[in-house]
Amino acid sequence: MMLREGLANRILLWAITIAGLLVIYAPPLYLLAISFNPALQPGLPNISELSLKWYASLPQETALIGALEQSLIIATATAVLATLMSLLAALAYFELRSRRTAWLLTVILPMFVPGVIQGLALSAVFARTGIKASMLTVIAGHLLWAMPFAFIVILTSFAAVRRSYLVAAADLGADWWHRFFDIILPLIRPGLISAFIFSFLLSLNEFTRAFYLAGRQNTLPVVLFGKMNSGASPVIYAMSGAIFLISVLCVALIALRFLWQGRAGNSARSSG
Amino acid sequence: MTKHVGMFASAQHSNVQRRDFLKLMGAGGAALSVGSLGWASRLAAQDAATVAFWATATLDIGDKWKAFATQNGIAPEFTDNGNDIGPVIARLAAGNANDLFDVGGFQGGAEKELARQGVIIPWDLTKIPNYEGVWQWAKDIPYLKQDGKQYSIPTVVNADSIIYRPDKLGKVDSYGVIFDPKLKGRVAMEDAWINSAIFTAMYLKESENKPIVEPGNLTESELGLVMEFLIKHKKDGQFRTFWNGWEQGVQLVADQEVDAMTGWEPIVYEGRKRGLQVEYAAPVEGYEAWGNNTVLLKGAGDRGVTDAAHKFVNGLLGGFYGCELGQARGYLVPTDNNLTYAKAHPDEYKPDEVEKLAEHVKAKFAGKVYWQNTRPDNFQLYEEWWQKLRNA
Repeated sequence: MMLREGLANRILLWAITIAGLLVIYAPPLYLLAISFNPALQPGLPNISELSLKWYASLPQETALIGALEQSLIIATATAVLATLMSLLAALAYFELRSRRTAWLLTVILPMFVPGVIQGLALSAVFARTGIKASMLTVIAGHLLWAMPFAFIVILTSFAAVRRSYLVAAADLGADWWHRFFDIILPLIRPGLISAFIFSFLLSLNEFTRAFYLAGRQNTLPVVLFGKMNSGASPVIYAMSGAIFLISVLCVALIALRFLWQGRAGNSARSSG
Repeated sequence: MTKHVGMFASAQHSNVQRRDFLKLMGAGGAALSVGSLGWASRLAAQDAATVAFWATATLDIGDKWKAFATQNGIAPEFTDNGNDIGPVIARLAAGNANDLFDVGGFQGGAEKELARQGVIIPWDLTKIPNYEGVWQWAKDIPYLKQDGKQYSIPTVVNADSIIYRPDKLGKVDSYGVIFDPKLKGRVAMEDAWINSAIFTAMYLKESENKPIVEPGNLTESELGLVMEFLIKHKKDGQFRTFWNGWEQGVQLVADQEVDAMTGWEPIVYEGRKRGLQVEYAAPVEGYEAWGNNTVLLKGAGDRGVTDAAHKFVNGLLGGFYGCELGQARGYLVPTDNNLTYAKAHPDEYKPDEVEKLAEHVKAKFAGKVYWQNTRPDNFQLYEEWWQKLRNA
């Protein structure tokens, strides 16, 4: 009877898991399938029709490539700055005692401002202060968007930092920099990496702020939206498909690396 | 023991840290400002022979802009504006669009509001000699002029009606088919008031003799009449769906879910490619005409680049651009200069194809048309009514 209940639970869990994965992965897989359709209009292709036609024409799409380059530069800069600034903000939070709630709310407040309002308002402020729209203004807008998330992620990782470690290190004569580099940084490293990736992706996919703050070179989401809105060439699906495939490849490589490290660790333990 | 509290609880140390943090923030902000202003000075010193063209992707000819620049002595820098008129107006009125761009290009109808807000300025037609060659009916688009001044130049035009299955319905020549109770659940309209409200208004005006003056710019009472009519039919189960986006439009026809629907002509070609008998109707009530127009942004005047902007728009009407846009995307620039250019360059463009496209669109405009309007006077009411329809 217990065996049956266990089996039923496992089936239920697997069913929910598969349903969840389908909901998550069906849309990008659908777009991926469309990208292999050689027809001018988007639609699911027959197996016999599959083609790399639109992928082959990607290098000629200078507007899309330019937008992708712009997005990658902005996302990288945003991720670096958001991670660094969030780290500083988290250190401040760690140090503050009575006013730390006020500090937390101050840092995460921009998260609650709708993107369209933040983008348009920032654009108006920049215009009135004589700051011309450019890659830097988009980075500024994206920082406001990504930093609260990065801050929360890093703050979570600070749970691993116990004051007793720092006190002990101080007792042994470690100065501030040593305590920071030798204790805090290694403990919060996973949080920093997560904050960087999170900020990078938030910036890469952001549309509304970029629309209002960009200069003459749009970011990739803005260009893709415009092309879809005006009867796009299917090459935009190839661009989306290429990004999806590269992302999957990166995740797979990371997974393989962890797998390999795990095996290497196991074999070292067994031989030791 | 003092060391124990030295790092994280010392107020002095803490203040130093905070000051450092603020200094860093200040330095970052300063760098941002200096960087942006540096970019601004470069922008201000832009080459007089370039024009920043901020338009819907419909008007983009990609790498062919280089050839355009060689021919016309003006190098356009194209930036996609997303083709969504609401954010475009917001960015012009309150944002940075006028600091960045010289010429705008979008679906017609918003010119009145943009001129009223002073974010666009009139064209000087004496500096656009190719405007002479624009077909008269395109010159008659109601949004081009405000207070007698030419604010907008027609750049791409076409007209939409009904996609239908002749094998199921025979010949269709009226929007009445969309509201025919015999076709309950077998028809569809687009989920956008910009097209569906005007189609319905055209039907009610022309075939039901309802008191509607301008289907593209409905008064409050006219809009109520049109929308209550649509809501009643929706509640009766008349519509299979209100389709959204190209893919769904094609699927409705390809999967034979509907026998008739209002929509874009390319869906007809896609249906035929999939082996279906599909036609595009020439309704007695007329076509819904639409145009992408170019406007001169106030910023061009402030920067003193209006002559270059005029030269650019003159180039758009010169023939090469029309040939390229027609060949690459099937869009039509309303001028005979396209055919003249194609005949002079038969190795690049097929004159018979250029002529065929022109005649096809001209034939639509030979009859009755009503112009699509992206920004009717009661625009907010349109939005409210459309929401009511969605919820009905």
